[in-house]
Amino acid sequence: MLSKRIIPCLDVKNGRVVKGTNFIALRDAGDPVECAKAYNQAGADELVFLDISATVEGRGTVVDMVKSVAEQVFIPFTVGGGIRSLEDIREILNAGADKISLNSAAVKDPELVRRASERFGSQCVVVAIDVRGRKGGQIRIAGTDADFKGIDENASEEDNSKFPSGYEVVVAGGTKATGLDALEWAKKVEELGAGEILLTSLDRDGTKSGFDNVITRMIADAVSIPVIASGGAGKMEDFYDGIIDGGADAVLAASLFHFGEIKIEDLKDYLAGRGIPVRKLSPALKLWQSLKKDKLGLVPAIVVEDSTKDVLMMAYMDYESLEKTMESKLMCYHSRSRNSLWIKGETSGHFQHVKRAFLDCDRDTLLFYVDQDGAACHTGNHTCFFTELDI
Amino acid sequence: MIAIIDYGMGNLGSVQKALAFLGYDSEITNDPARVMDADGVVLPGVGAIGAAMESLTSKGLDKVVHEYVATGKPFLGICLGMQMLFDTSEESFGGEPVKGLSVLPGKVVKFPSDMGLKIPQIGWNELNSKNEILPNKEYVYFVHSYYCVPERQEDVAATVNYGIEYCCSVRRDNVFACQFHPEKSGEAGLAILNRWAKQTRE
Repeated sequence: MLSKRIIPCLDVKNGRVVKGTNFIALRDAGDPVECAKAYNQAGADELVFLDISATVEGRGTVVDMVKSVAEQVFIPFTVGGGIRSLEDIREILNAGADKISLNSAAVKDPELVRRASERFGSQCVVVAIDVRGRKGGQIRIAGTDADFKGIDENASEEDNSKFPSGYEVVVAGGTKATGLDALEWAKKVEELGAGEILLTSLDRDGTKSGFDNVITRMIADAVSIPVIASGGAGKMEDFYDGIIDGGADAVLAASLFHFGEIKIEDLKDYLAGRGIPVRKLSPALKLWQSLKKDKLGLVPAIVVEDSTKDVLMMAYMDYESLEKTMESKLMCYHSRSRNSLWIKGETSGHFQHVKRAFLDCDRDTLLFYVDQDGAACHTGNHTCFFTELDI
Repeated sequence: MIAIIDYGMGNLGSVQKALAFLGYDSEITNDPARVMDADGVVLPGVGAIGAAMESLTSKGLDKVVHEYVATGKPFLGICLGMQMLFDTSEESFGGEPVKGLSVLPGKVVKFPSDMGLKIPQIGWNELNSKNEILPNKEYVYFVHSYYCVPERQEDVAATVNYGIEYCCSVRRDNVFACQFHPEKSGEAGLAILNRWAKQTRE
């Protein structure tokens, strides 16, 4: 079954991640590649980078950032913020982003959505829609309206009647009203060829009071493209509600994840426990993801006989051999000479039965304690280390 | 060297970056000689199948695909690159159903619209596989509105459930193809790509 996606959003300014990821100790918490890797390991299903650079030079750094991330992280990622033209889109997609998101540029020029989806395919065009409730719509959360000038609190019923959904599309971080009804706009962008909608409630954003499930549900039911709910998540239950009550296909949050208030892994366990399909990593994959690999993508394994504590051999593992070892409890390696899976003992009968395993402090070497059938070394010696050196 | 066929559509960079990350040399090319010379070939693709087929055919690359498959060397189709391997697609192009490469017998059809499914399917879905290249019960990343219906059951390498249980990977002799994106499916996807790419070194 298709799983519901958990998406962390990273704000990027001048090519650097603002607020970083605090849930894990990184050498450089502002490095987009490090952050993306950390989130990949934590089990994020997708990433969104939102460029908040104020200057042209700042924006120029986005393309380099996209290139670096795409070379190291192999889960889908979206880049949004400041994208204005087909040329901007082309540049970011060519650099390796999977999707771009359009917000105010789509409001300003709806045809851009159509042209982008015709040229690059709907699958890479996300339209970000920021909304606020009109009076009579969703109840406002106190304290978030102070700087908001867009919607007139004292608007007449006639004014509000222009917004049948009770929600208005806003841009520029909520400081500018557009006069567009949120539901109508969502339907319109689908018709124009958007592949997904990223819906942010600015009434809820930062409040930790939960997603606005009223407008999310309205839009999710009205369009056939996936809807990502954003703005307001504060606890694990909020994500559940966003998916069940809001009908969201994916849920997005930023600082909640960055500051480690909620761990993605815990959130997935929680959602799975309540019957929501989420992508879970197999134990082998989880371990493999967390290991530091050498240049060939391999990890060395040291093998010790459990009974004698003799060091028997050293060999290399790739993901396949680690997975097979964990599954069969028999040591398997990656044969560098044959470039294939090597099940130790398969031809000789000298199997190695795994008893215990340990991880090196730098996470770049594995240590296995085994019961050895016959000789470990292909020469017939008990251990491969039978040649004593004169040093 | 692995050749990634460039027919002027889609983002070919991600496949190349994933192969490079795994330590494989690859080249994005539309030169028939370079393709035929390669130890393995990837036919990638996103977007509309009609335009993709037209572009492929106009460059004579449809014939190259057939010739390459006949050499017995490893061939990998990804997403649209899987759909193009079949006879026809329901996805219309100028009002006509699209003719595919007919490397494998079968057709490409759209997800049913009467089941309340979001179309396209976007996201991670769980493989049901009995194939040694594909891990069973692992999640991989999908983005598509149409899916393949192979004529021969024995060509099916894996299925996945999206309202309906459908074929998301095929394998016949040296031809392997998947509807999902291994290059975007995290470590699980890299492992699949690596297992396929290893064959190019044999």
